[in-house]
Amino acid sequence: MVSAPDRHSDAGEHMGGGIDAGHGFPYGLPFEGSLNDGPGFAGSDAPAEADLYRCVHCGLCLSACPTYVETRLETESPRGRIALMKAVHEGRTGISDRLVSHWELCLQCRACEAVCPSGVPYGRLMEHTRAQVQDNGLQSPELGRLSRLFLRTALPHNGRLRLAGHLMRFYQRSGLQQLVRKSRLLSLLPGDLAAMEAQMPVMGRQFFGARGQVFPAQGERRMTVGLLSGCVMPLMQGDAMRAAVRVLQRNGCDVAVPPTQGCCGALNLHAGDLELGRRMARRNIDAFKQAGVDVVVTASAGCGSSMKEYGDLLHDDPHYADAAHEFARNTRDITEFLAALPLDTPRGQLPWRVTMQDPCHLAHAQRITEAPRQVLRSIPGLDLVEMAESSLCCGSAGFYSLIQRDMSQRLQRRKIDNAAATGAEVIASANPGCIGQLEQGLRDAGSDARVMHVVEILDAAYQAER
Amino acid sequence: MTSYEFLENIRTVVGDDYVIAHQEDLLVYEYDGSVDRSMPGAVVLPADTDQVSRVMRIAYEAGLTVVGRGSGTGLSGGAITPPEGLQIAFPRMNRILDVDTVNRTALVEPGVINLDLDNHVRGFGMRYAPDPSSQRACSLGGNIAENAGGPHCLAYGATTNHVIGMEVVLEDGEVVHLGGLAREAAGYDLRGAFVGSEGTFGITTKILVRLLPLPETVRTFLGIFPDIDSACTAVSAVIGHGIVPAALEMIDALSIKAVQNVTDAGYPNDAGAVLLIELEGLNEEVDEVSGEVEAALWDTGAADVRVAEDDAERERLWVGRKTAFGAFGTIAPNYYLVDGVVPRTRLTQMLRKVSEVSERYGITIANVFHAGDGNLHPCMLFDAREPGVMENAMAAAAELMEECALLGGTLSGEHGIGLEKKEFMPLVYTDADMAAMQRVREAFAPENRLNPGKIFPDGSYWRPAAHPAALTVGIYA
Amino acid sequence: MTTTPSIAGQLAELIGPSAIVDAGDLGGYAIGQWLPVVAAKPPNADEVAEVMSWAHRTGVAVYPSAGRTSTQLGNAPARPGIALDLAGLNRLVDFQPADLTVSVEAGATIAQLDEALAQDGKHVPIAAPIADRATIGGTLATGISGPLRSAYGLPRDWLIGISVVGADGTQTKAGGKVVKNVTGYDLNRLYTGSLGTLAVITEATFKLAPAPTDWAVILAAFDGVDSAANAAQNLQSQYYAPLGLHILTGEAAQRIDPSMGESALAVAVSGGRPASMKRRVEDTVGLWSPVAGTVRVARGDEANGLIRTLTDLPADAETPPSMCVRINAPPSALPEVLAFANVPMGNLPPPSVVADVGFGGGRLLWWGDPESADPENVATGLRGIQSAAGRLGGAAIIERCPDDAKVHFDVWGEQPSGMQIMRRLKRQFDPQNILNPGRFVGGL
Repeated sequence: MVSAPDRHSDAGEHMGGGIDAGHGFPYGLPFEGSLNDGPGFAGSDAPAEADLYRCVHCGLCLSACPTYVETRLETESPRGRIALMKAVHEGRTGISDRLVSHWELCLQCRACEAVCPSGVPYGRLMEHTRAQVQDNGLQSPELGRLSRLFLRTALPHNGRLRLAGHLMRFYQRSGLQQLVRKSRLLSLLPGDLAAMEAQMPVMGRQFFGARGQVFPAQGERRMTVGLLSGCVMPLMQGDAMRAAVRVLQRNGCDVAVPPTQGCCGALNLHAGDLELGRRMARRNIDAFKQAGVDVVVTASAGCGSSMKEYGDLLHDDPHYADAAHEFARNTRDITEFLAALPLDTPRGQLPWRVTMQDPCHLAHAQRITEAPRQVLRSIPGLDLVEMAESSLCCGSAGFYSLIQRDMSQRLQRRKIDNAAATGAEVIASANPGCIGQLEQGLRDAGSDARVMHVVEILDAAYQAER
Repeated sequence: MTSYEFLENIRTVVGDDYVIAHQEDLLVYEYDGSVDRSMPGAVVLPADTDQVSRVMRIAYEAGLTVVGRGSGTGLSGGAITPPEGLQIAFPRMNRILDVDTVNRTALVEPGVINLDLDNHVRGFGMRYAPDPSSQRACSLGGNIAENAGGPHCLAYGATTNHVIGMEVVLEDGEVVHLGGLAREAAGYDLRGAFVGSEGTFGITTKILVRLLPLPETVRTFLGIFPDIDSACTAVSAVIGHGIVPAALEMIDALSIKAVQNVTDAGYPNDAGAVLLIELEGLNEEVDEVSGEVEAALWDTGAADVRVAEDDAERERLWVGRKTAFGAFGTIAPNYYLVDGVVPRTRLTQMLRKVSEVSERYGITIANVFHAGDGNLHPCMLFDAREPGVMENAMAAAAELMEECALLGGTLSGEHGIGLEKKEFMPLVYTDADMAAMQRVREAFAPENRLNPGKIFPDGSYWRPAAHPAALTVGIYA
Repeated sequence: MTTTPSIAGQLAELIGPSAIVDAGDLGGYAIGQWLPVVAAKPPNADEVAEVMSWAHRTGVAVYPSAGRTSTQLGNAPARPGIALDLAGLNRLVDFQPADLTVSVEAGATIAQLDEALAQDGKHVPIAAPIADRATIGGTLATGISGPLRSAYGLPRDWLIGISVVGADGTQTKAGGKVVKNVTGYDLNRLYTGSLGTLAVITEATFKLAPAPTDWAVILAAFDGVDSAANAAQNLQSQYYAPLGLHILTGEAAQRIDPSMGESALAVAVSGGRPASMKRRVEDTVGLWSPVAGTVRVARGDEANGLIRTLTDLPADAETPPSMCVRINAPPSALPEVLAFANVPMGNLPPPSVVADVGFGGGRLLWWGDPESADPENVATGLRGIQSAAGRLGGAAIIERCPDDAKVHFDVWGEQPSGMQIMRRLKRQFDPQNILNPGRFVGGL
């Protein structure tokens, strides 16, 4: 906190009469709760003052924020959440469950960041705020449980993830799931566990594994790219991963999938687990360095967004700062990568009506909206139609859908309605979380439409040449 | 009624979720776009006119002060609510109720966002002309309270020229209708008096706006000048030529630098100032006037004159203009801006004063403003964490306002007086002038329950109580 | 109240005998059958303030006027009083062509202002009948507007600053001399159209517009009001829509163009720069020719003459209509406004209609001798028109009718919404009710 000129030091008061109330209750209205004296922000990972006060509370972010649009409450807006951070930073109030509830309702979609004229690094502020919340043990019980169960125990460990994936696939494909769902077993589970069951991602038929393969380029070799296999995507969307490999090969790339890589750490970072996130980042930096690739490509917008921020994340790390910056510079979303190539235009006809749903971490965090459309438009016969609010979050947002079920479902319905209004038979996306969320939304709506990754559609166009 | 009963009573009207009375939640209702800050006693978010009326009635009986709030983007502290007061906020009343293509009107609720309305009616071949730079966020209700302007007000006038009818709730909860579909009515023009009354006359619950047909052609010019003097001369030359463009904006060298730091708006980095000029109308008319505008720019020393080739380029030029204030963050962490107006021919003189004040106070001042109607926005850039710098900026602002008054101008062109400028009112109005204004308020709100303590000097000093690092007034102008 | 000589004497002492109008000329200040006891004609705002202070002290009613072209407007005066003639305040105070502003005293005429501004190619696009007598103050006080109101707006839209003398003689101002201003409440709009019941206007500042360099009036005859309405609405939706667009029937149509016969006449007034005018005229003629009986274009002096005639229809100097009703209604009510042409009123024939296509509403006009009609019958008919207009989402203001009919009803029609606020306003500004008492809506 800086030294303040006297007249500003006494926040929130007015003097010399100020506004003449002159009326009303002698002691004002009865606040139903006061500012608390709980823990404040502390340590080197606290939200930075310079970041906080870039926000001039102009309100331009409001209409871009999915939770504000849904609730119409300032507490659920980016401007409001930053105001709460400022209040903690200024020592006016401590971190409380109430403040945490507003911060946790944030999807971290960063739509606000993309429209902010002052360049407030909202994503960074929210990650650091959540880190402070976690440090003080003030996460909501739901997030705490999930964090222990999944973010800390499973995500960093590919082996455990695969095992879990195999179990889930068995559960889903053996008929056991149907059996359980028909029975009343689920009603015996605590509410959030039953819901988690309901939202359990559908496992792909075939997983995709990072085993250190190098898939050779077709035709003239342009370069070697490293492909992030990540954590859940190879399990849930193995088909998309394989399509990504084929599309890259077709466009003259040797595709390396280093075996020592792991989860990018995005979900841990979003939840405020900065230290674990840093460990995961270091592992990936090492893995791709050893593979000697020119660029690192990912088919997951959420991962790409985090990887592009490794430089920020590790800027204090004496051993990794430089490598992290270089890694970040060399990271590309796969649609971004393809659009920047002289793309080998498919000759196969794909007479589909397709609408693009912009993943938040592609459109807002990476500011990439044109590249996936450029790829789709290159496909002969494909009719690309725009949906309303194409860049409004679908409500998936990592593990958000498990913790904030109500909001997640409201946004999911909104997205599915907007997509349906276009009459598209395929919703294109570029992020595994969104794809899962949209698939579930379409199932719930009883829709025949499909969700596909942009590279799956491109791959289908290449396949259609035969 | 006890104060607890009061909260229970308004909860019964709007529902539990929409009465906010916990201080931790009220933290987000204590600011608007200005420097001022004050935590309201409670906030209520009604859903319709009936709820507004009932809440107002209950507040009236309880003897409470009520302050309306749209999106909280105002730059003069209009929505700042005293601790004893009830804030009534309108984000839930955001429906576009009707678009009438025959009468060219739209009926909307006060929480509708300015740009949302414009985008919606463009689908019908019409537009809503007032376009404050905050149009992506600001609400129509707030626009009415402040009589909001914007670049295109040069040709089409401010909000008051485009609002033809209102449903208004008075301080005691009574619902009245002012103006209407027929553009003239017998009796006093209460609608005209209401627009720009900064929330002190009543609370707007429905708004009937006039829409304009879209023009056949729009053409946007970028006039590039070696210095601000020659750009000012060009403004006078264009207007003096008998041309009133749809918009005529000036962006000085420092602002160009700030904008180009953030986004490539296509402004040349080495220019002393640029003018953004937009012409609209019939093809033939725009063609004819274009030649004269270009000639006027060249004659007054333009280094270059460019014409936007397509919609994308025009959009880019405007994005630069509309994000300029946010972009100042790349030069200094804080800013404070003045909204004075001078007669157009005094622009050169006023801008010299600005630069003299800048030097004398040692404060960097950038200028991005509505040159066509003489509405300046000198913007002081500083780091409020340096001791004394804020006082310095305020003193410089006071001097600039005095100069505007001296040159025959006024204090505010579009942001309103609110808390921020009320003590400067005697620069332009006598006590008798202000007493006449107060009489109108007496007629609308005899108990003075609505947004009291704003607009008129009362000797009390409302403290800009924000954190020192946050002393920045808005990003729009 | 004191006796007449002493009022004149008191005023003469205050503002000088030369500012007191000869008793023999008082007839010129008649409002219907009402005559003032004295008429004062002060030469400047300070003297106006003297008169008002005196009235405030004595409680004598004051009826402001100047060009006296609209004295027909309003209810009959409620009580005796003096006439306050503002024609002496007729200076052009400050014309700044480069700033596009002008300040002018209230007693200056519209024609006088037009002429001064035209020297520099500028205009304030406000208009009133009998422009060489109608004054700026009167135009503002009555809020009256001309045939180009749909494009140019109303007088209130051009007024940026105003000076007034209050009911207690205090001089105040509002607004200023800049074109954009949100400093304090907008009293400009409050005084405009208040018929002098809140304060006496002494000076006004307007923003200016470049005046069109070329004018055209396009006249088209149609076989009926329906086809005229369709053609007019079609034109109104074009990019080249005119500045003013009206449909006239009966005598009003005849006065604009006697050669057009008995049909409905559509009149489009276009103004602009030469290049665009060519397109405006050609496209309008092209649009109307296939559907109209005849289409004719007037240019230059003829066009200007027609615009003047159109402006003067409600109250021209030589042969004014005997009755005039202003219909306030939205543009969508055009067919209903035109339908008034077929409705006889009491013993009077159906009116001639001038419908304003772009702005909405219009006027109903009767020429001929109204004295032959029974006042009560006339009042009943006019009240009927008022309720019919109310059903259109508007109102009918009786701008001109026989005085003895006025005693039977309020010429302003139904009391508007917000009447309680208006009453409080009146009490705030004129607690003794000395300004134009009885003449405005509901006795304001």
